[in-house]
Amino acid sequence: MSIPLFDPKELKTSVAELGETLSEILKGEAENFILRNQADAALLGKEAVEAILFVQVFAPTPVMILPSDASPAVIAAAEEILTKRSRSLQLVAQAQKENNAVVARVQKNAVRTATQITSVIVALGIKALLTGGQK
Amino acid sequence: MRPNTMLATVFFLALFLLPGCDRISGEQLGLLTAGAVAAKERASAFEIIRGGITAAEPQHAAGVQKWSAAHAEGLAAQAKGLNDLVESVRLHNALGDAARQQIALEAETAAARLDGFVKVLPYLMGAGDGTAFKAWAEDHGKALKVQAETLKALALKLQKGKPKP
Repeated sequence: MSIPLFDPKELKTSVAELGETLSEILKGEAENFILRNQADAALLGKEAVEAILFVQVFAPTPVMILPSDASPAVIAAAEEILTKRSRSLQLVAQAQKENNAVVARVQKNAVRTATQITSVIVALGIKALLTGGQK
Repeated sequence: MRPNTMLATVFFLALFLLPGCDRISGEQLGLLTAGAVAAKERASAFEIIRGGITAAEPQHAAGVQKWSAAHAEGLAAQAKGLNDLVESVRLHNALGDAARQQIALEAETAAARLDGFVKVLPYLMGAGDGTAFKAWAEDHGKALKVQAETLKALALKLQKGKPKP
């Protein structure tokens, strides 16, 4: 994976745009991951392979702690993230039921890719904080 | 030792020593099944009342609607995921690393979903009698708590019982 972390032309780094950037990275990396695991994706389905990768990204990421005065809009945004987690976990459980060994193999490959993605997420977060929301 | 007996011994030894794959105890399977049943109940209970839920104040209408849709979808996905996990564990009679991780994440998700419900509740209004909605909300909150605690207890047991690499 090569992401030009500090190239302003290539990457939007403001806090507001961080979510959008992360979604783009996740989408792109998931597509590459499916390509690298094409044979297993044919057995499990692309959606399941993508979910296996996402679960490995979610695993080390702590869930959002809501402030006591959070508005319904903020609570809804956090609930949507939880729903994405549940949906990915459900797809993995379904695939595991049908093909336990293949899921274990794909999961092993996903750990490395997920670690790389997590490092990028952390780096982007730090950069966004340092730039104070400036483009 | 006869060759067949030897072969069977090697097979069973290999099965038990298989890395990342451990047999599940009756208690662990019981907790997992209880978590799955609880998730299914929560998904059904919310689906029944969902249509009548509105925002207590109009400025929060969009947020409440978005939360309600995500809560319903998340509960349904978790119920199906846990049910598949129970079936998978029963089928393979073992808990692999993937299943252990999944249980830990499901426990964390259930606790966070409970927290979200507790915090969004003051902004919600149910259809018809306010007393009936209050009773439903109290019951939903309690049941979400029991579900989160059941999954957490299982996740902790699995963490403690996991042999060190």
